[in-house]
Amino acid sequence: MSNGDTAADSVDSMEDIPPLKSDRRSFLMRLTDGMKFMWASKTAMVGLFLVSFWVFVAVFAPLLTPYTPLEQDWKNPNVGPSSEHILGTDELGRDLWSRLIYGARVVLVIMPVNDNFWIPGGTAIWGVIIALFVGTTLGLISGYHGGWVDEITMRLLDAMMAVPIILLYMIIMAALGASAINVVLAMTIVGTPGIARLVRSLTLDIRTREYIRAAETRGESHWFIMFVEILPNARGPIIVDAMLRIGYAIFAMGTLGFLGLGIPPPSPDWGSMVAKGREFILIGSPWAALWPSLAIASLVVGLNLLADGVREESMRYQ
Amino acid sequence: MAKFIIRRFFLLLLTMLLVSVAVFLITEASPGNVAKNVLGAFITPEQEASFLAQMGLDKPVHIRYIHWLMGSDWLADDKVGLSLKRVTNADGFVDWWAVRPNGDLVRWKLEGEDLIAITLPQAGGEPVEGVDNGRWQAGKENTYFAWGVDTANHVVRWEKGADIEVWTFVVGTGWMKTTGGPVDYIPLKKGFVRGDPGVSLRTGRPVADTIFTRLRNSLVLAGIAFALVMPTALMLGMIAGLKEGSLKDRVLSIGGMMFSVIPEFATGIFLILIMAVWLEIVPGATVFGEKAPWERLDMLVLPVLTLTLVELGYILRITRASMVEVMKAPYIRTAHLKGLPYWRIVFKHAVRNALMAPITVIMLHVNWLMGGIVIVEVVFGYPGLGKYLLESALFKDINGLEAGAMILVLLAVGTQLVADIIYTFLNPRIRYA
Repeated sequence: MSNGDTAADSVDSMEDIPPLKSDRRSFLMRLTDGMKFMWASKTAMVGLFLVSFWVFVAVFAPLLTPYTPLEQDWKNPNVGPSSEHILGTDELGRDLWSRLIYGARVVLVIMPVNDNFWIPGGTAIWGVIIALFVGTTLGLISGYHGGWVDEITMRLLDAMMAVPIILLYMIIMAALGASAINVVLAMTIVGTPGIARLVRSLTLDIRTREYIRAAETRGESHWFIMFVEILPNARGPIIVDAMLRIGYAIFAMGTLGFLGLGIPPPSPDWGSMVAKGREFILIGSPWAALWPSLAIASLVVGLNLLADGVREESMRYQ
Repeated sequence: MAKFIIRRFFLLLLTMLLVSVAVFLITEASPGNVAKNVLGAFITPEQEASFLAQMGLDKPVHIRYIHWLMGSDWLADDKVGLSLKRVTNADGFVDWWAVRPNGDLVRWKLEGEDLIAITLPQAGGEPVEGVDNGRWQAGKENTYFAWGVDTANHVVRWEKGADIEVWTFVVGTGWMKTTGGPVDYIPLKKGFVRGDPGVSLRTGRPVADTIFTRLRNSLVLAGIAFALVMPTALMLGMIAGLKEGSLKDRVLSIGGMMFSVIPEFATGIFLILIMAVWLEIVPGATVFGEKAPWERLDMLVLPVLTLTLVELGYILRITRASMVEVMKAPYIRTAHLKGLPYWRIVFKHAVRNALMAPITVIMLHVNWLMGGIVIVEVVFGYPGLGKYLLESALFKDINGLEAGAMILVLLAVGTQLVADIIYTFLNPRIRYA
């Protein structure tokens, strides 16, 4: 899970990019092939099931509960599961099932920008996408240009990687204030160095190939070579790395929420639900802390089982 | 090797410097208001300005950074014209005094138009007060000013006739409004590099008094967890790695993966629910009061267990991978073909090489471990460094935050250096220039 170790694995698997032939087949054929491939591995299936469950409830959240996540049932605060509230309620009488699935929505499907505006794509997903974009750009530039650009970028990123991640998160979030956009920003700052190192090492390898020489001889611009010639050929390891990073982003988002640095209340957020519910565990109502803990645990375990299963199966075919 | 260590040591100092500047700038840019955090939301603008001036927070950020890093007394003694000295008084508080050439300690206060010197004779005894109007110097346009040390550890500039109203906040009493206050303050401190991280804005006490107790508590927690994790994880990892793909291996590696990817707070909640609420074996929170953590071992059980489970999975997986790789190496096959007994091959030939990777990775993992400790401390209300740091960050308590950050960076970068050095002993093929 640390930033460095995925990079090393991925570089080794550079040669494993499937031959171009597969790209010509229809989308449907490739999808069924992928499914068969997954079916072979039990762990991957369990992972797939857990992840699809959360994606499903997140997408259809408004249809799956009669309550909104903010609706307060004053008469029933801190009650356990009942026919009225299937998972119980929290300390303000808000329905836990509804908060749980709207919380999944914030992680996986939408990113709240302010009170009445949101953009599609979950907060954790955006965190990975933007970190990928920034990290890839930095990695390409420093790997392709080399020289002092490379030296300065890499030394700065090294210094950033030396700083404890939790300290970075705390300082960034305490400085920016809690909001979904700032969570994405913090994830970007923390995630960028690892991605940049990976992309740089891939670029260093690819730029010695003949087709890059050919492109340079043709007189293509640097940006064209970096993004059109090098990047597509480095995509395999980057995609594998990104998959692992989604699990880590959800982990980080939960942790930030738990520390009170994530998406601000009353918006449903798994981490802050646990932090609030924790206060009521020892006085006899564990539900508000239990469900979001289970939710985040099942989602990250699902993602990792999926990734592990896929890796194992692909190794068996070699 | 020596050259390598020296170079890395300077890199460590450089990283600490960069981080301290970054923390200062970022805290500066953040939206909160530390005066409101300290004094409550209902202070008047005059009270706020007065407070900021007395704490030196109205100065530009680079001046404050230099004061924090290197202290302000060496800048201030020029203004006073006497050297300054920090003494700890009988009640344990820190007092700053100016030192007269004859060795007497002196501070001043302003009463009306008169400057009163409070002199503490070198020989000891009670402080003596006396009028000391000789210090007034002529300023611009018929004004007179004087620099001196006041009774609240600032070097200040008084102006004759300037009727400045000052708000002072006294804990327990509230706001006191006085006239004849100084027009300029330089709060006195020794500075971080000279061993004084300053006074916490949040608690009003010297950071150094609190932070080492907190660090000790965190180290106790991490140390016990580490002592449990290392043998267990290495052993289980070896068991799993010896028979790749067996049921034992699958159970151990999937279990290890689960514990290492589930966020620490979720693991902590599960453990509280099972062990404290359901089985009622151990308390679900930590309340130490004045006691040291090791005096209440029952309260340490859950925090240690949480940290152990999270770390266990990670180290187990690395050991397993390394063991699997070593067992496939040609020299192991040779040993098999030589007819050596299986256990002899494992313990004599495989283990040594297999443990090289986990031991280095564990040291590099300290960075990650710190995140875990912060969360575990918050989950269980454990009074450790991580919780102190979080509270300081949320409060914008720059002195507390900087000191905590420096300790974390020192630990993170320092352990990496140690890991590199250990690695050269484990693997003689590695040479550092």
